[in-house]
Amino acid sequence: MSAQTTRTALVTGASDVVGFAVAARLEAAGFKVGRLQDAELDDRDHAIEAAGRLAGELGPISVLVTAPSLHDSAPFGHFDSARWNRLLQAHLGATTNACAAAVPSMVERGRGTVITISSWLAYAGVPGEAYFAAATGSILAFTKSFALEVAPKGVRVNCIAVGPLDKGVSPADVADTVMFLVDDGDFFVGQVLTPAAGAVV
Amino acid sequence: MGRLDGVVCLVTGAAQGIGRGIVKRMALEGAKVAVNARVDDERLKQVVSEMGGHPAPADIADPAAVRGMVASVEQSFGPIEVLVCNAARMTMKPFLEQDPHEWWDQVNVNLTGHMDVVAAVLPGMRRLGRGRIVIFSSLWGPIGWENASGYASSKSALISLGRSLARELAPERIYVTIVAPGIIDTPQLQVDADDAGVSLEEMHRIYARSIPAGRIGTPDDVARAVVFLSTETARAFAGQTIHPNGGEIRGSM
Repeated sequence: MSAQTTRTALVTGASDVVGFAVAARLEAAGFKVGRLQDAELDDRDHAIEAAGRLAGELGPISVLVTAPSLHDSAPFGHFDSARWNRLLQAHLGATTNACAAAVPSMVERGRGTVITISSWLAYAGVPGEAYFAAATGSILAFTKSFALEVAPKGVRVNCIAVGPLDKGVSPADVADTVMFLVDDGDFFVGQVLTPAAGAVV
Repeated sequence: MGRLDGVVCLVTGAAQGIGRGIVKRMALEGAKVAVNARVDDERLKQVVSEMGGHPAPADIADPAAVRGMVASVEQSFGPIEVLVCNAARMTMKPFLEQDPHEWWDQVNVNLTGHMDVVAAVLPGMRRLGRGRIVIFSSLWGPIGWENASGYASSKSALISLGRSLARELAPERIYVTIVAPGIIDTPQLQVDADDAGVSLEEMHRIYARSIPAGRIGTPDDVARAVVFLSTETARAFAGQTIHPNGGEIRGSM
């Protein structure tokens, strides 16, 4: 692959298994990969600054994958507001801050691909997971609306709802799905793809 | 090196449109593709000569013809590892104005016909110890469409067939997935244009306005998704429906 066609991707949550596998797969496919750290996503301005710095080092960003890395759950009523806000920030906050940081330059160039990562819990529902399901579900809803806003500008936004990792779904399955959406998913907009290995049908 | 090197595939309804695009993509990926069409005519010969693959004519509404066709493919190439259930019949008319025979004809081809194809192909997949089945639904399967009650009913039922088969067959390493394409650039658009009394170009523009991606899809958009689901990656997607529709609907069914 020539330098001219080398593409740059930003990945969040690369410290966790899913984000790690996605970043590694993108690198194996020849992407330059910038890793946005969780602390950089706590705040909109930090995220914009960090994405700008990485784009300066690695080149214009053509792919963004947001992989929340905080897993926290307890039966409903057991979170105090700080714990809930931390979870919501790690999911909806980090996802939207990363989009706000990376997508404007995609819109300017008229092309780009965003893949948000959510969970099968977002639509299946499981007792004891109300907080986590709500946090991941907010990403589904955000993705669909945001996808419609930027699709006319050439940016494709889709979501991967990861199936249960303890029931036959692997981070590699998520990485495969990311590569499909990046390479072959031109006509996918606002969709939710669910690699669940049959655990959720 | 292709992602389907040497893999024996059967694509139903492949003389035109999306099926033709799938044959092309699969052949590029190294597959041995059996190209099914209702009749053994010039169109089928042309797809095979242009896109690659091997003719496998049979009317899928005829169970005996289906069994004969599958037996003949297996005799030439061995068991079929990937089956793509793409063939479809569609006639648009208001429900009460449609002749019941015409209404049922769509269900008999799209749903029952493919049940017979699956039944004919499964023993070979079991001998092989693995397989993938990609079932075509449609944008109109989950949401329905006016004047398309027969077609939409069949396409909705195909989602349920796919999900049930996925549950049944995944333990045998046979992975069933479903594709529900949106508006795609196929010869059907000319039919739609004639029905609407507009030019083909105007029909393209009308459809594109309703699609967030700003364009209708190409057969290759869908074919690339089918190739993805034809590889072992299909394991992760057993029972799932994916929607190459440019954003026209964004549900999860």
